[in-house]
Amino acid sequence: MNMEFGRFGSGKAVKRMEDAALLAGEGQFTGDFAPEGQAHLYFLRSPHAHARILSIDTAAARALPGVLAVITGADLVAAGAKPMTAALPFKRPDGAPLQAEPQTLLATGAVRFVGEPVAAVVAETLAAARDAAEAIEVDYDEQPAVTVMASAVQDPARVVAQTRYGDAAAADAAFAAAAHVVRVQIANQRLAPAPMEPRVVLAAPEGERLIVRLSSQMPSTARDQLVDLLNLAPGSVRVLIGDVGGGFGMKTNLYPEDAVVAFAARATARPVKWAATRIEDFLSAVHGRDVESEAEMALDAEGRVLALRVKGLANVGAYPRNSGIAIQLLIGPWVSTSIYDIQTIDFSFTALMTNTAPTGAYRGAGRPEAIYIIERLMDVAARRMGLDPAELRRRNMIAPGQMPYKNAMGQVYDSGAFEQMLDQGLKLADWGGYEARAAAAAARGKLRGRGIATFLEWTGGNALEERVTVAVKGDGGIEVYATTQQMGQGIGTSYAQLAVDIFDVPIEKITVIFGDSDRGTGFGSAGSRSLFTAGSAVSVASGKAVDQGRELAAEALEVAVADLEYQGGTFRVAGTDREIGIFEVAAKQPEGRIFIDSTTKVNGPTWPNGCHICEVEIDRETGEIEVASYVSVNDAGRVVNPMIVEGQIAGGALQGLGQAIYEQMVYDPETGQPLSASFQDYAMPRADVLLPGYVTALDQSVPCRTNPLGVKGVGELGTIGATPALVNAVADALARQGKAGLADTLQMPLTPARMWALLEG
Amino acid sequence: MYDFDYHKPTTVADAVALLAADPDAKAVSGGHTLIPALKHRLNKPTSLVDLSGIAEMRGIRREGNALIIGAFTRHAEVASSEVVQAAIPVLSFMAAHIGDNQVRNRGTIGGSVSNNDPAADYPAAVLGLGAIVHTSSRKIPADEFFLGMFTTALEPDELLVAIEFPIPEKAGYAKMKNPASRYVMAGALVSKGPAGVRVAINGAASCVFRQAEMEAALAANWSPEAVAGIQQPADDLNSDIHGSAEYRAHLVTVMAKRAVVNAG
Repeated sequence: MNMEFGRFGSGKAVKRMEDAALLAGEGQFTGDFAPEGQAHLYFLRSPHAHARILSIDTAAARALPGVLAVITGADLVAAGAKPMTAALPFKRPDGAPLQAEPQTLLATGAVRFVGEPVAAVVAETLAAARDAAEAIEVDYDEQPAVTVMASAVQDPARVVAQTRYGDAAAADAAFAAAAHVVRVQIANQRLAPAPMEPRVVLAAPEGERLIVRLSSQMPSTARDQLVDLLNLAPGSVRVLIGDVGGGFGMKTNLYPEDAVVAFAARATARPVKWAATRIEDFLSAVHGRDVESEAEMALDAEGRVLALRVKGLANVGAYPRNSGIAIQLLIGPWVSTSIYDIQTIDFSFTALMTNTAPTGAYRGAGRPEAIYIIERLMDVAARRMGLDPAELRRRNMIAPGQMPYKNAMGQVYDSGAFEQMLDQGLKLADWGGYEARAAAAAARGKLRGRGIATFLEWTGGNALEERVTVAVKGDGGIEVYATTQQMGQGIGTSYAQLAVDIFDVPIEKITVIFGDSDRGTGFGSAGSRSLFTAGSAVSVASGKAVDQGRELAAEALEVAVADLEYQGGTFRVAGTDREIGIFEVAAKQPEGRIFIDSTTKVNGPTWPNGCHICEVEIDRETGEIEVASYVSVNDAGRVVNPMIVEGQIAGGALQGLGQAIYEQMVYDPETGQPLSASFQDYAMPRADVLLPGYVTALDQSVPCRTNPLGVKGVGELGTIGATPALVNAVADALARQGKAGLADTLQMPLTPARMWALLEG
Repeated sequence: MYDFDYHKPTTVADAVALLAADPDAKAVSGGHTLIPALKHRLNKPTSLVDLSGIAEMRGIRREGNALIIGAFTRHAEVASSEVVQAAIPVLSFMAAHIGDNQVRNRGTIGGSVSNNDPAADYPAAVLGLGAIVHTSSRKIPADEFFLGMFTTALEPDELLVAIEFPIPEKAGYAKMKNPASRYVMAGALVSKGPAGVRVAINGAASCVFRQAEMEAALAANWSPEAVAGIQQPADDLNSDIHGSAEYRAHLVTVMAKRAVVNAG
């Protein structure tokens, strides 16, 4: 390894290669493209939560100047466009297959949530498109709207799917024999993902093909879904994705709007752009979470958990999406028992259809909901038993010697040293010094509380295979193409570092390309999978490129392959000064390059985990919560770029704190109108939430055993730990005020008004 | 936004003439309320009368025992003005805590006061300091200026030109921010000076108002304790997803107490 280049290899906090352009405003987001002849699309959306559509009159709109097309759901159906469908093998409680009213790309017959697209206008200017949309007359017959789960569960037609896991009889027996039973009734409220860049699509016909630029996490999935929904010929769509201003899961699957823009471009033979406003994203991009749970834990006299029982209701919105159902009915439950050795479970999860926007992936996707439940239960149990909450967790942790460990849901953890994370966390947070800090806060008139969450998560989407290409070019550059997607998380820099590890050349030589569906097919970036799947593939493919280079170099130098040493981009005959550079070798090839197209499959998901400890101070008079300190120790496996990993965990934690304290997507229970559809009313965490007492530590001593890099996915870890850590801290503060009983039903977001009411009550 | 005509007069008289000639014209100052409303097509004026070219609406000056601030003075200018900091520091403090940098560099005092958003900061200063609003045609005492939610004594063709603040002996401001918008959930400006002892409450109700019971208590005993026990009735206070009327009523007392502390 060349020491100079090694400074940019893995393990180093290399500055992100993409940032200079992004900071200088030179990013290439979809919205930055404005091809000649570009027309603009505007969606007319439903003002009602539930209504029958009696008629749509578009005549006046079509007659307005500058209008190129007015498209309705009927037009799309007539053209053969397919509806969005939920097609998972889940069943209703009576055993009937999952069946929900499909969402046509534009509403036909009825609208079922406020903001559902009803018609699309394409015009020369956005203003003309909006004028025309206002001229469309839709005659609605309003129907009663249901947004509340307690109501939806009463209506069998709204109970779209149910899953049950475990052994109810064994759990009943465990509960009957338990020394302690604790119970919580808690909600995990609906959230709006709200990436900095809202959705944006630009579709342009090019010969027989359609070139679709959009802001997405999944280039080839977007291509395949467009082809499918619009019944297009395979190969007729090319998806290009430039810079992406955040995804958080919200930009995983294709939206009806995306397909309508593609349809409109073909119908008008013009490039057509739609850029969602912030309000459109609040109304019609997927929301996350929205689960209400009753959970019980049975413990023996020593605090060993005997059984876990969870009954969950998930509001999956008006048109259930595959992801929305799977996240709550399957994926989340995989980690319900977390890092604790609990083999007796009794779970039941029910998906409910309501007149709200569909739910889908949002950072953590099911795991935050599951971990929140068990970490709240742990705290309630510790308080009930008079145990230190860290000690109760310790007594139940799976030991390293139990790895690989199969949990009650059949998931296999490859590695984990949970007590090691706990011990470091307690030390870093000065767990023992808490009483002094609480007393000091009390002297300042503040209520201090301390909360802990120890947990793991599943990553990877169970899409374990990844294809990459690596081209060593005669001009001195190395180009890596990946079908995963960069969206602000810095994955390209991490891939480049992994390539530097193998090629031993300066990082400037490496270019990582994303977002061109013509260049490769893959799952995309979701579920914290990119590094351990595609990163492994980059490493393997780079190794193959060096091997091939070595063979070619041996031919060129007329020596045996085994006689060649490789360092700093150069093959040298051992013990001599005869050498040839890898780029020189590449230049000699017929195509002027060494090209590797390689697919790598890893052997399983990764199970990152950690110990997050939060201390809060509550202003008794206003109810405001201040995050006084936030300390986390994280098992991220081997770390490629510590700066990026710390950033991912800290940013994720801030998002988790956002859920705990601020965020909630609220619908009026009577009318189904969204009450928080802008930042005016949807409270986001801001930079000033982060205080100096914010420490993120990484423990790299427990490499993942199922991928060649030993890395674990970290995109969602922070989000999962932060909500229970903060809420447990608030519960602790309340308990110190003699209000321990409130802990069992404490609900997020812990707004000042809610905190004040709790403290007053 | 919809199409509209655009005018940029250079005198108050010309601006008033433009407004008088067209009942659907709107004056725009910093534009931080109007421009978003236009973008969302919530407002459809025939023309906009841009006040940024009118020199007589600008400037900060001290005249005897009063501070006169031109309507087109940006929040950032009030925040950083040494004249304001010396005469009425609470005004600089308030201005420095409106919105964010972008808002403070665009928004104007005249725009904020004319708009009379219940959750705005400046109306509390105008009412709480007993200011006099100078318009294109008259002078209106603060007590007669704020009539209700987004409603003032200004006629459609009358422009706020400057605000005359009597210099108080003491004044303090405290507010609780809405967790989402960071507008005022409940705020209090307390002052003692030539306009008497005044307590103006913003954010909590549909319009800024004076809290007479607190004024009487502070007149008798200028201390945080004097207002700590006074409960604002929750009737008629705002209630929304961010907080109940009862919570806002409680905050009125807390903010009044903190405002007195801040006044020193």
